[in-house]
Amino acid sequence: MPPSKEVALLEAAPDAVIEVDARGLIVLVNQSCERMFGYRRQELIGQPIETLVPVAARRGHEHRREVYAAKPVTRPMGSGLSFQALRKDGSEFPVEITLSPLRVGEETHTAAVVRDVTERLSLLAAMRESEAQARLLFEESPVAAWVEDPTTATFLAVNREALRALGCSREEFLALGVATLQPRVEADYEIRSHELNYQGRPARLMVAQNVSDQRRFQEALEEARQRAERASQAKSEFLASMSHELRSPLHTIIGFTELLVDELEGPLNEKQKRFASHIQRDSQHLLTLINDILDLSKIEAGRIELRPETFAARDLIDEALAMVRPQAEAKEIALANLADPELPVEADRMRSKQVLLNLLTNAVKFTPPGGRVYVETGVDGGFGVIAVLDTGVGVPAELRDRIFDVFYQGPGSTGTGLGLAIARRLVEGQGGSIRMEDGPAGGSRFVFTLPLALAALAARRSHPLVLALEDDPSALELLREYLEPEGFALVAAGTVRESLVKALELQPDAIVLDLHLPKGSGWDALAALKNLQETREIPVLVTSVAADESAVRRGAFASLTKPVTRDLLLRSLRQALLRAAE
Amino acid sequence: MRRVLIADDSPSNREFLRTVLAHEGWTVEEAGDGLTAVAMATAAPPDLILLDIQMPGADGYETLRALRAQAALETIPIFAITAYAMDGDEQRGLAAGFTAYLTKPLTRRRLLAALS
Repeated sequence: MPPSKEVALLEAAPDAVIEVDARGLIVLVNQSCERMFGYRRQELIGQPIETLVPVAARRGHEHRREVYAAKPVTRPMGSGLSFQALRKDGSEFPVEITLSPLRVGEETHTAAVVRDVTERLSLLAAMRESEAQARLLFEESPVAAWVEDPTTATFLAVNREALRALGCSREEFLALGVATLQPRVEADYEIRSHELNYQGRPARLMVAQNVSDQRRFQEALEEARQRAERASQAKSEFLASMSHELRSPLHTIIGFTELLVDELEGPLNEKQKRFASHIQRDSQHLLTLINDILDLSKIEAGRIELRPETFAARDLIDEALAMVRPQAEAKEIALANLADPELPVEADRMRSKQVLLNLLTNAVKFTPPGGRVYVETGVDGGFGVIAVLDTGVGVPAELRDRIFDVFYQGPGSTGTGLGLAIARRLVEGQGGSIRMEDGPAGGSRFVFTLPLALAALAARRSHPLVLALEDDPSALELLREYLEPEGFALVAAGTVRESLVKALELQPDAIVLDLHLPKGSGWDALAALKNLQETREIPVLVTSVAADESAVRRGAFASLTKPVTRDLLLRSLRQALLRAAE
Repeated sequence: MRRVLIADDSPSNREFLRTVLAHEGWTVEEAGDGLTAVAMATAAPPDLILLDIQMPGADGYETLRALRAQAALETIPIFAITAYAMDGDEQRGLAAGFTAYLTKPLTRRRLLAALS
């Protein structure tokens, strides 16, 4: 027989339903009750209702039952309070209970509808917690914030920072209208508005970031920029007009002197001729001086634009040598270009030539007749090295720092004293360096460096490129002595990181790696090189103080014990290259 | 006889140019400012014009424009003879329509080289 409609409804209810008689004994329970309390219904029927109440609350419950019996109406038990209920397994849980009187014959029974509110309470607690957090964040935020009601244009809440910034109390603020606040903050604040519900109404959270410092800073920056631009502009204009004003009279002097020396309007006597040539020589010198000063001023004023391009150092050297050839031949000085044909540099071609020409002019000037001036090249780290050597008088050690100073002139010099100062600035402006040292056969060796065109170097090298991970300058120097005369190009890296970058970038033909670096281990470099697909195939020669064959097991081509002899190094390198080529 | 018109406000520079060019067989005419030069060139177009850039009244560039605007002077060689010798000055001069841009100090040799 199917259950009656009432029974079916009762059994389907999600809440526990319990019928209790006037003595407080359970008469009927539903399925939800069984599930909620963990009893089967047979266990509960006839038991006192306090079975389901925690022991400590039983007495109180009996009392409540009596109070209810005196005035039995449908109402929540304890006016919406939640009570603890007791399961069969002894655990307790919060419940809300609604009571209704039931007329059963002569007796008044009570129907209790019991709802498990565990979940609701924990949700509520979580909500309260998150609300408290939000309130705390709002209140304690270092950014000024308030909540506006958009319909009434009034304020609903304000935080401490907003009050501090405006210098008013919470009451004063909340009494303000939205319209009054706007003009007081817009100059200094950037305000963002967020729609939200506040206490059940749509509202706007306004967040005001103080940007006055930022704006002031930007204004100051802009002003400084404009001032610098004006100053730079003024400097350029000054240079241009100075150049113009100096050239004009010089033109008259040089032009007419030439006419005299050329005897265009009739012959001069010997003395007059000599006088005219004195004027000619010194006016030319004055012109050089003016050009140099302008050049230097332009560099100092940052008005010189360096345009790097890739070119072969050797070509540049050829061109510069051609320009000093007449002076050299007049003194029977031999010129030679010993540059590596495969040394591409990346620099401003014209300015680099100016530097080289200056060094060559000096070399020819200070080399006695019958001497030699030659140019050679090398590689140092990421730089191409160009060296001008002569068999001239040299420069005493104590003067070497000063020769690059503005207006320094060596004894017997006839130049402007600006050439080397300009050269230094041009070289340093391109990231290179310039120095003077003793030549191998007396005389001077002026060396300057320009950035290597690494990509070009890697692309069209005919000399095998060896990358050396070596941080000891003297060990590196030794490697260079060994390798470069044999046609190897050497690039150095001082750290593991640098060696990896260069290996990836340059794709060297071989790598020589010192296993015992103070900073980072050569082992790391080896592991990384063998791990990267792009560098895995490059043969690596490791050097270490003790023979260590484990390096070979870890991918090294060979392990060389220090000190590595020249022969061993070259033989190993060539083997490595052969193997790599196979 | 080839005729050259020199426009320069500096008498000494006019004399220098006159001396050099007269020796080379040129008939030399002179103007002390740009407007006079335009008037003279319009009346009798010369074979060559040498213009200073910095002149009172119309400067070298304005004078050049006025000269080039005339059909008869559109293609004759016009040289700038100037002490403006900073980076970019020459490019500007050539872009404006000067046939050559000679910077001061100018020597006889450089001028003759430019003429040939």
